[in-house]
Amino acid sequence: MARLFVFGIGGTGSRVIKSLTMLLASGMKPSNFDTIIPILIDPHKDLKELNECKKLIRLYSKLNERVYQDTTNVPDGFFRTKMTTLKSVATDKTLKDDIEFDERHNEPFGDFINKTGIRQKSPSTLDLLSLLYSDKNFSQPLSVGFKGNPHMGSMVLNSIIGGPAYNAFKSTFASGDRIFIVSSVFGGTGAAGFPLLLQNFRQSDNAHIRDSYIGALSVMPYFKLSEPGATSDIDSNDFMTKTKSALTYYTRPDFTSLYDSMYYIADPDKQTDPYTNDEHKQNNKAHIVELLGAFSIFHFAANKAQRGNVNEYCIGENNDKINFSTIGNTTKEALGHNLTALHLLSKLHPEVKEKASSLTFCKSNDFNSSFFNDTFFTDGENGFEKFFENYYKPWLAELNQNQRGFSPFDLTVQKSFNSLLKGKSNSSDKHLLDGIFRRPSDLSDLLTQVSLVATKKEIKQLNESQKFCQYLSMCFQGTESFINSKLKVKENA
Amino acid sequence: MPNYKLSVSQRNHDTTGWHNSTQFQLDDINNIRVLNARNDKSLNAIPSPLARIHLFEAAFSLVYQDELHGTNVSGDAYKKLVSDCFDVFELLFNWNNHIREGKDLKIVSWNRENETAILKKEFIEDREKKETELRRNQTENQSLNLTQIKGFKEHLVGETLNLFLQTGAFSLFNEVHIILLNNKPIAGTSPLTGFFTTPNDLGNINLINPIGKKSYFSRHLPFAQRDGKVKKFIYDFFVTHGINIFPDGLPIRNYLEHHANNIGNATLQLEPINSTENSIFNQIISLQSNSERGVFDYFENHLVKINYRLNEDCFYTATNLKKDRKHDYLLPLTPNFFADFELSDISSKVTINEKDSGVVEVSIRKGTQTLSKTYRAISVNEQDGFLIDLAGTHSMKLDLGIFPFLKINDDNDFNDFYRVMFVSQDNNYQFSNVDFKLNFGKDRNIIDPNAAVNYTIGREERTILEKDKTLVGSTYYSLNFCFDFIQVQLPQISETEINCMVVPKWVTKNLGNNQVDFAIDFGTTTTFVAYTDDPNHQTLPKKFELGDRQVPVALLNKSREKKPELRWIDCFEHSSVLPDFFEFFEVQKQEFVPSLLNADKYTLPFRTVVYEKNSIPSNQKKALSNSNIAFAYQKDYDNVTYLNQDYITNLKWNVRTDAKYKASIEVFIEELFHLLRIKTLLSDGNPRRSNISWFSPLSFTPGAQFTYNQIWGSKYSQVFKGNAENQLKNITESEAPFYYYSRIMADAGGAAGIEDTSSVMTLDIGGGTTDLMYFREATPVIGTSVHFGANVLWGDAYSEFSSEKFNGIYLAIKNIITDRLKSTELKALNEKFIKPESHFGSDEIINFWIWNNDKTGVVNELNNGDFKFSYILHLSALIYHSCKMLKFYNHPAPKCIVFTGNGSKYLDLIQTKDYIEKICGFFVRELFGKDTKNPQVILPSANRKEATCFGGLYQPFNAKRQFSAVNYLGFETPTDNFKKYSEIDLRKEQVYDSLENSFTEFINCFFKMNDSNDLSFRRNFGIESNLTALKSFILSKSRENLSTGYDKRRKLVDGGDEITDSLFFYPIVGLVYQVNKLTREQLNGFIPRTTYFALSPDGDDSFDVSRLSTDQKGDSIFSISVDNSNPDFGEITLIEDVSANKRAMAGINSFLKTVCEFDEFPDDVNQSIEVLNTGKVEKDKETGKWLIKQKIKIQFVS
Repeated sequence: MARLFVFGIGGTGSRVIKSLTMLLASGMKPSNFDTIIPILIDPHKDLKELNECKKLIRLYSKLNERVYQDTTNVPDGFFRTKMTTLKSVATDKTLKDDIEFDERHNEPFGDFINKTGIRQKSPSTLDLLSLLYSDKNFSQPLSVGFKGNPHMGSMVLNSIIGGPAYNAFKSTFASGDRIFIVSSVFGGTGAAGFPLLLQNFRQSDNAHIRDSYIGALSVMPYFKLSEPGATSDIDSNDFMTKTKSALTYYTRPDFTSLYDSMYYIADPDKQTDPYTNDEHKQNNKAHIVELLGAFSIFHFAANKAQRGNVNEYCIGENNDKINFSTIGNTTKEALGHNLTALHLLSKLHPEVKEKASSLTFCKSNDFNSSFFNDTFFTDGENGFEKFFENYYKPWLAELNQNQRGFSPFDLTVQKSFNSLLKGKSNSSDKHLLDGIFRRPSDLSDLLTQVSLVATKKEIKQLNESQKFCQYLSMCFQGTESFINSKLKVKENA
Repeated sequence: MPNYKLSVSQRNHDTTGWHNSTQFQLDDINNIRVLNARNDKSLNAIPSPLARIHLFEAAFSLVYQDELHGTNVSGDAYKKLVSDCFDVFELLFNWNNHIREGKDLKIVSWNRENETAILKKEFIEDREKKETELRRNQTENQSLNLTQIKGFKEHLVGETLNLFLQTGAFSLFNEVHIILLNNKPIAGTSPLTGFFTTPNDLGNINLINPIGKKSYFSRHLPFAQRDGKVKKFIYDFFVTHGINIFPDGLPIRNYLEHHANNIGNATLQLEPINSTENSIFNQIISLQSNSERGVFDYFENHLVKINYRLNEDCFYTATNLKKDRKHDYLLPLTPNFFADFELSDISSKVTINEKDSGVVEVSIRKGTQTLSKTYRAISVNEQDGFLIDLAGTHSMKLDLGIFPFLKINDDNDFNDFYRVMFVSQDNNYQFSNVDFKLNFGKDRNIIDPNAAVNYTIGREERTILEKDKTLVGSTYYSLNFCFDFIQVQLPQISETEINCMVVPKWVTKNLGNNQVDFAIDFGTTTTFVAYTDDPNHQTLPKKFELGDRQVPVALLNKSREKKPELRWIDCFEHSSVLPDFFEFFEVQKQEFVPSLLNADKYTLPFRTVVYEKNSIPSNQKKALSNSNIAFAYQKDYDNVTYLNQDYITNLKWNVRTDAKYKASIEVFIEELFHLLRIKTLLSDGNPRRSNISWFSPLSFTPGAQFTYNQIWGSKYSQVFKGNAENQLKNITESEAPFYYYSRIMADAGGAAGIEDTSSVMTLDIGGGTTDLMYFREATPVIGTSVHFGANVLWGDAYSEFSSEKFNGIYLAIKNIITDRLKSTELKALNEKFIKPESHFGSDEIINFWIWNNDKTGVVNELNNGDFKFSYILHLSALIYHSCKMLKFYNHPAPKCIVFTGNGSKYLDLIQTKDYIEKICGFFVRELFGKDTKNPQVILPSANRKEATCFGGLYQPFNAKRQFSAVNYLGFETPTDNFKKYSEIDLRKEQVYDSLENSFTEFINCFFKMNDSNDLSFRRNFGIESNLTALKSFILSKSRENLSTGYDKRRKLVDGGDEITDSLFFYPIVGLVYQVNKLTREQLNGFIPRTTYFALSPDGDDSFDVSRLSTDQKGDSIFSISVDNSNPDFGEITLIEDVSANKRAMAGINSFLKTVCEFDEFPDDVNQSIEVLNTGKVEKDKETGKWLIKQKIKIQFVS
C-alpha cells in the first residue's frame, strides 16, 4: 500500500502534525494511504512543541502497533492509520532519530557554512554571500533556529540532503508514495525548508521522488506576538511583509511548476491577545488553522490535480469561535463525525473502565480490570489514557481558548450530550441535536450503542490476541452508531 | 455571503472548506495589508539563499502597485529597497567621478560554474576516496554520510547556490557581478532588478552621492524625485540596453513603464565605466558612467592652508574675498578641473570664502552653476572637506621655485628645460623628502613619468630632511617640457591622500628675431659674460645680467613690495619675506638660481664654482638637480644645505684630471647657457641666431682644449640649438682685450684706450696662468701662456696638496682678518675655510677675502710693504720674460702694455700706475737699450674681465686666428731650442744650468732696479727687508725650486707632449712662496760674510791681520766673522771642535784669559769649553788690527 510522507518543517510543521495525529486518532483515513510517515525538520532542537510532537507521534505509533499489529481485516477505527517512523522503514538502521530528519547544529551560521574555508577557496563567493546574508546572519547561532530568516534555513537545511535520513528516505520511497510538506511562510525554518525540499525532490536521482505527487501546506500568519523586547529578533509586524515576499516568490512560474497541490491558509486578523514573544519556547496554544492545515493532508490524499494546483480554505462564518456549523460544510462532514467520535471516546472509555464489572459486554468479552490495567491503557508515557489526558484534552481546550477559537464541543458537558455539540443548524434555529433527539441524550445512550455493536460478529471475531483491537473497534462502532443515529453532522443528512 | 476565507486575501470565497482556488496574483499580494516593517533586516522571508535578490523584485512589484493605484500599503522597508536599488544606479552613474576622487570602488565577477567547482573540489575528492573504501569493505548498501566528508560545508554552499541559481531567470546567467567599496561588497547584479544591495547597513558608508550630496543608501528617494539624468540613465539601462535581459512584465519594467512619461529626455554624456570588469549579464550590458564632472571631480578633499601669501604674479590663485591676510590656500582642485576649465579661469571662477574660523568655502563658477565645497578644521561632515593648517597644526612648511619661468608660445623647442625646486620642512620630523611628491600636469592630464614617451620627469632629493641633521628637505624635479600645473602630494597626515594644485602663470613670449651674441670668459677663479644685441658689434657690449623685469625664477611665495630703501634682491630673498620659513631662501641661494642676477648681489663676474651633492657619479651630475653654479659661494655662509654637499672649485684647469671636474664644468656651462638663453628670449632674440665666443688660454694642453671644444659645442647645440660649427667661436684669452682697448678712448672705469697700436703687449693675468699676446700694427703676431698667475702669490707653491694653508702672506694676515670677520655674517664661513682640515687652499681663502674686501679690508693688509717685494718680483718676472721673448723673436720694444685678468689686481697693491710704468720701462730699457721709452701701461678698471669679454665681442666674429703660439723657455737660442719635454729630460743638467744662468741674470737685473732712485724698494715701495740677504737667498734657492717645479710639471704631462710652459718661472714660483715665509733671522743667514781664522791673539788683546787666514788651519782656535757690507766689525768665537778645544785649554793661562771671560777656572784639563756669548772685534783704522771690544763669554763643563 502506498505511503504518505509528511514533512513537518519548523514550529508550524510540528503543530500541524500534532493536529494530524489527533485526526488520525479519531479514525480519519487519508484516502488510500495506509501509512503516514511523519518527518520533522527543525534545527531548533530544544523547542518544546517539537519534542511534544515527537512524543505524541511515538505514543500514537505504539498504540497503533498494539491495536492493529496483526489485523488487516479491520478497515476503520480509532488510531487505524499506521503512523511509522522513517527509521522503521529505512534499511540503514544507524539513523539517530526515528522522527527527526536532521542533526543538531549549535554553531553560528558563518561557521556552519565555513566562511573561513570559503574565503580561502573562493573569496568572491564570500563577497556574494555577503550580499545575500547580513553580518548578523553570519554570527547567529543555529541552535535557536533561523529566527525568521528562511534564506539562512535554505542553506542550512540543504545540508540534510545527503545526510543519513535523506538517504534513508530516498532509498525507501517507492512508486505510489506521496509527499506532503507542511511549513509556514512567515517564520524561518519552515519557509526555508519547503522550497528547498521541493527543489531537491524535483532534482532527485530517485525517479519516484522526482515524479512523485507532492503537496504542500503553506501556513501564513495566524497569530501575533507581543512586541519584541531587547531579547527577541522576531517582530510579528513583519509577518505579513514576509508573507508578501514569500507569496511573490511562490507564485513565480518556475516555482509553481514544482508542486502539484498547494494549500494556503492564514488567519491574520482574529487574534487580539498576542502570543508571548519567546522564541525559545514558542509555547503557544493549538489553533484551528493548524487543525485545518492537518485536514488539508486528507484532502490532498484524496485528490489528484494538475501541477500548480492551489487550494484555500473558507469557513462558513467569520466568528471568534468556530464550531462544526461554521467550519464549512465539507469539513463538517469529514471532520465533525470522527472528531466527535474521538471526543465521545474520551468520555466513553473512563465510563466503561469504571463500570466494566457491571457492564454485560465487558464481562462477556473479558474486558476486566486486568484488561484495563494493561500498560496499553496505563503506561505513563505511551498509554492510551495518556493520549487523552496529556494530549487530546489539552489540545481541545487550547483550540477552544485560542483566538480565533475552535469550539465544536461544550467542554463543560459531562454526561448529558444534549448540548455537547455547539453551533446551529442551518435549517433551524435549534441546537444541532434538537429535532433529532426526541428526548435528551446522554452517556448512557452511548453505552447502549456500544453494547449493541459489541455483539457484532466482526467484533466477536477478534480473538484474544487482538483484545485491544476488539475493544477499540467496539468503541469506534458504538460511537459511530451513536453519532449516526443520534447526531446530525452531515449538513444534508 | 457570510463565508470567510482563512487567507491573507478575501478573494472568491464562495465555497467552504478546502477547495480548489487560483494562484495569487500580484494584485492579490499587493492588497495584503501590512503593518509598517521597522527595517528591512527581517525581510529575508523568501526561502532561498537568493532571498535578498527576490526581495528587491518583490519590492518593485509592491511599490509599483502602490504607485499605480495611488495606495500606500507597500511599507517603508520596500520603498527603501527600491530606493537603494536606484542608488546603485546613481553610484554607477557617478562611478568615474568616484574613481577620480580616489575611492576604492571595484567590480568583481563571480562565475557560478568556476566558483562552485572550486568549492566542491575537496569534497568530491574525499567522497570518491570514501566510496572506494566502502566498496573495498563491501558495504555498498550503506550510504555515505555526506556531512562527514571533508569540505562538505563549502560544497554545501556551492551546491545550494547552484541549486537556486540554476532556476528561473538566474539560470540564464553564469555570472554575478559584485560591486565592492573598500573591498566590501555593497551590491550585486540581479536579472530581476538590475542590482540588489547587501543586507548590511549601507547608511554610513563613506561615499557621498555628488548629486544629492548625501551618502548613498542613507535615505529613501522615490524615482520620480531623482535627477532627470539619473532617471534617463536607469530607464536606458533596462529598456534600451537590457531589453533582452529584463523582459516585459518584470516588476522593474512595469515600474519604469509606469514612469516612462516622466523620464524626460535629458542628454547623457557617458563614457565606459572605469573598472576592469565592466560588462555584465553575459556581456550584454556594458556599464557606463557619467562623463560630466561635478563638485567631487573638481574639488580635493583637503584644503591646505599655508603660512604665506602666494605669488599672484607668477601663479594662478583663487579670488580670496579676504584681502588683508597673511596666509593663503593652495588650490584644492583635482586634475579634472583642468579638463573642463582653462588655467586662466582659476582667478575668475574659483573663489575662496573664509567664513568662521576653521571654515572655508571654496566655490567654482561653472556656467550658471556654482559648485562649492566647505572645508572644516574640525567636525567634518560627510560632504565637507578637511581644512589642513599646514604650519599651524602640523608644523609643516613648503615652498617651491620654478626655473626658468618662461614659456615660448610658438617654438616648443625652447620649452625643453625646466627645473622645480621643492623645499619642505616638518618640524616634527615625521616626514622627509620622500613623503612629499609633485606630479606634473600637461594638456589637462597628470603626466605619468613611467608611461610618458616624450615627457621625462626626473626627481632628485638633494638636502634630505633628517632629525638632528638638517632643517629642510630639498627635492628637484627636472622636466623636458613646459607643464601646465603641479599637483603637490602631501604626507599622510590625514586618512586620505592630500593633494593640492599649484598653477604657474607662465611668462610667455613668442620667439623673437633679434640676434643676441655672448662672450664668455670662463676663468679659473671667476666667470664673466658680456652680450650685445648689435649684430654688427659696433656698440659697447653689456655685462650680462637678469634684472627685475627678467626674473629667471618664480617662487611660490609672494615677494616683498619694493621700497626705495630696499634693493630688489631684498624683496625676494630677505628673511622677512618668509619669516617662518626663511630656510627656503638659503636653499634657493645655495642649490638653485637666485631671483636676480644683477648688481644688487649676484653680479658678474661670479665665482667659477659648482655646488653639488656628494657622491654623485660623474655621469649623473645634472644641472639644477644635484649640482649648480654656486652663485652664493663665499657670499653667504651655507648653514642649511651643507650636509653631504661640496663646492667644486678650480674647475678650469682640472678638465682633464678627473671626470668629476669635467662633469661639473658641464653643469656650470649648461646652467650658464640656460641663463643666457633666457636673456636671449626675453630680449626678443632667437637663440638659434646667437653667436657665442668663449675664451681659452694658450696654456691649455691640446687635450684640455679638445675637451672644452666638445663641452661648449654640445652644450651650445643642446641649449641654443644653433649651428655650433659656425656660431660658436673660441678666442684666445689674451687676444681679446686688445680689441677692447684699441676701440675705446676710455672706459667707464677710467682705463684709457691704446695710444699707439704699433707694438702692443697684452698680459692677461689669471689665477693660474698669465697669457701674453703681442700685437704688431694692431695685428696679433705671437702669443704665449705661462703658468705664472696671481695665485702664485697667495698659494702654496709646489705643495702637493691644494688645501695646504702655509702661504706666508696668508699666515701673516690670517688672524687679523679672522678677527675682523668675527662681527660679520662671514664669521662662520671664514672659520670653515681656515680650519686646517678644510679643503680650501690659501689662494682660495685670500680670494675669498679679496672678494669680500668691504668686510675683510684684506687689500689694505696686502698693501704691507713686506709683501710688496713678492708682487714686484712677480710683475718683474713677467715683464722681463716677455720682453726677452719679444727680443728673441725680433720684435721691437712694446709701446703699450695692457694688463687684464682678474689676477692683475695685485698690481694695484704695488703702487700707482706711474710706478708700474716705471717698472715696465726699467726692464724694457734693460733689454732693448737705454733710449727706450716707458711703455704706456693700461691697467684694467674694476671689472677687469670686461675687457676680455667686450674685446671678444668687438673682434669680428669670423676673424681667423693670425698669431703664432709660441713657448719661450727663457734661455734658448735660435739654434738650440726644445720642443718636447723628453728633449729637456735628455739634457736636463744642461737645461738647468742654462736656466739658472738666465735666472741669475734676471735677479741681478731685478736688484739693479733698486739702485735707481725712482725705483728704490725701500723708498718707493716701503720694502724694509735686507735686500742683500734676499738676493742671496733667492739665488741660493733657484736650482732647488727649478727642479721641484719641473718635476711637478712632468707629472702632469707626457714626455712626448709639446712644451706649453716656460721653465723660466719655475724657480720663482717656489721663491715667492718662500720669501714671504722667511723670518728675519732666517734671512740674516743669507747676508754675505767673510770669516777669518786665528791661532791666538797678539798679546795686547788684538789680532794682527797678517796672522789671520781665510782658511781654517789645523791649529786654528778662534774664528772672526765679518759682514761684507759692514767690514770694520766682526764677531769672534771659539771654533767648536775637539782639537781646537784641547789647544785652547792648553792656552788657558797664556791667551784665553785675554779673549775670553769666565767665572771659574776649570777643574781639570779634560773639561770642554762652552761658548755662552760670542765676542765682538773692531778694526783699528790705523793699525788694521782687530781689537777685542767684548770678550767671549765661556764656561767649562765636564
